[in-house]
Amino acid sequence: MPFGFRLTVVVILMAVEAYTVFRITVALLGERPRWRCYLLFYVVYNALEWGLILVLELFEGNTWTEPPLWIHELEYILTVFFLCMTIRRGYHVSFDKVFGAVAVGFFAKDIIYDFLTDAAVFYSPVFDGKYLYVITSIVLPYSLLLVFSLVTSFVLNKTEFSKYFLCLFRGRVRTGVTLSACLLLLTVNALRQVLFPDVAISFAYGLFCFSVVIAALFCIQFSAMYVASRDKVKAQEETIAQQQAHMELLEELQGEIRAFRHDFTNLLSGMALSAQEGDVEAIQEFMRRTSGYFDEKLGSEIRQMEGLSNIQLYPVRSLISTKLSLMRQRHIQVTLEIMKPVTGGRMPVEDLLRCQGILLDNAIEAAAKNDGKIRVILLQDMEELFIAVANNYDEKPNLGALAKSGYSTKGKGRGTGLSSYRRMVSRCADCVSRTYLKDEFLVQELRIPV
Amino acid sequence: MVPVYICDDEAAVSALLEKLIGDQIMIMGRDMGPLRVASHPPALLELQKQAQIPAIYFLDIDFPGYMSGLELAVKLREYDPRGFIVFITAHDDMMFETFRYRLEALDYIVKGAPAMMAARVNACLESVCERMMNEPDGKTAYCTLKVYDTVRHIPMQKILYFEAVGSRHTLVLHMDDEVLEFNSSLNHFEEKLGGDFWRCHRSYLVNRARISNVRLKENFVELDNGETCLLSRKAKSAYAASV
Repeated sequence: MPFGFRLTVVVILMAVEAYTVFRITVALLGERPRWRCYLLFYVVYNALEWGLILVLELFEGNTWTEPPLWIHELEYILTVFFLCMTIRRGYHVSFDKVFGAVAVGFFAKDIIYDFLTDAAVFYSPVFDGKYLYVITSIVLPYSLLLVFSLVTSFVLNKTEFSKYFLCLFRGRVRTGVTLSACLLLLTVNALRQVLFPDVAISFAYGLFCFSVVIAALFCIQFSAMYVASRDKVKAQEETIAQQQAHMELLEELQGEIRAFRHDFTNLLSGMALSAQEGDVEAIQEFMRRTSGYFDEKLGSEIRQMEGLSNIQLYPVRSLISTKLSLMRQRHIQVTLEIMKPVTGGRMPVEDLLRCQGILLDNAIEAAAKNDGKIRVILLQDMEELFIAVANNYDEKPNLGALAKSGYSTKGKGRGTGLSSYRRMVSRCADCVSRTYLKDEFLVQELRIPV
Repeated sequence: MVPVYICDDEAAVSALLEKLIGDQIMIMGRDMGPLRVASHPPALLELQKQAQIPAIYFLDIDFPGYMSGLELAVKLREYDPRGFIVFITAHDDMMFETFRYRLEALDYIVKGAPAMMAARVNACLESVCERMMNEPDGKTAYCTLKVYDTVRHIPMQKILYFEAVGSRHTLVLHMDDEVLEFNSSLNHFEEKLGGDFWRCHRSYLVNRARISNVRLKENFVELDNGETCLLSRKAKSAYAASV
């Protein structure tokens, strides 16, 4: 066979291999595949493979003996490490998650590849023509590998497996366990060769491996689902607590309306008397006094309720109502203005919730002690969701220091709220955040594209 | 002269306002005018293009059959980002804070007794004058910044420094009493702003006019408000060579 043909075949096969790993990794992370990232991945993969072959050539001389195991392992780990770096650059996911995903991706690829090549060797009849042999022993398994990667990533995306997968990385202990399991997966092939060198690789063996993998996947899925459901229960409990706060607000309002009704009937009966006597002046006086009464008593509450009912994101609504009742407890005067329905922007709801919570908490902490005032504004239009939280202050805050992480008016170990707020904002593409002082108010503004 | 516009669909209100504002301008001898009246938003948008900016706008909130005062204000801001907007309203329970923060509206005037309205009109014009005085004159340079549909003109001397953070192209613009975080790249601004700014570090672009101290030993640049930026080795050697 001509050299060019061989080279092309090898390049294409490596492209398929790299694509399989890439596709599964990306699907595990729950991202969309990007061609530029893949090309970088492919180039790095190729460079590492060829580089290793070159090194081995120099190392071993021209004899085609099997290199020692540790070199293989080293190569493997190195490849995985560099691929992690490439994907991390392209997708901005933290290193541990990428490492886990790449390890699983590699493992899946290896297992499937072994299985398919073994199957091809086992089933293919003996041919005379080498081209035909190439097709059955190489082209067929590789194209099946491609199909497998596409199907797997499709299934992973459909079942939203990435959520469960990312659950495995919540908390330090869980991350540690997951990472060591991933490392084990990476080295399992080599370990097998060390421990059971006499086991020949056959079709039945491949099938066995395959079923083990399937069983393991089921285990991961179940454990992850269990974890995810526990988190969900926790989140639901929080929502219930917030809704209870909302209910309390409603009950309070109801109580006030009852009191108001009582007042009002008294006032009206007084006026009815004046009307009977034809005392126009007394009636006018009464009208002047009572016209502002209703607004003063219930106006702000009703306006707040109106605003709250405009928020169609229930978690955000209950968060804001919880914070409102907290502000009321601290005797902070609140102005809440939500003119139009709020449905959320391109920022994930969890992040939006946390951002909103941090802004409100900061405002509550920083508002003036005696005559605290807070203004909360949400406005959604065609292009953006505009959020502004403003509070007055006792002491003029230093914005330069505020922008540095770990700033707090309350000593060390605090001030993490704003830095995580900033991290979430910079994670969301095209979000704009602005902090400024205006008319004795510190204003935090966040604009999220819709 | 700063043009003044009134837009209200009730003829009585707009006539009253015209008289009040005209009187106030004359009595106080303010550098404002001409005073123009539009009865509906499209007319005002037409009028706006005929005179200079920035201008002062007195707007009604509701225009039945036309756009709302909010939308009108957004449109006015597109052409005149530094104009002064005052809303006229029948009730004082309108969403004024929304207007104040979203559109940077100046103030609002509640329709009612003429004497009270006159006092509010005067207060508004006074605060416009004050702001115009504080603002630098027309010769100073501005840095234009587009955020969604609004274009902001930031006076150069307000800018302290730009800082690049994180791996995504996030820029933090530090100004006097304001911090703005948005997506852009430092190289873009380095090219756009030219020699007035100094790239003292891979992730810092400092306004030369605001530097008070370059601490070569401690590797940082101190600004006139006490904030500091990092100084890279490369920039340090370039600086040392130039001095």
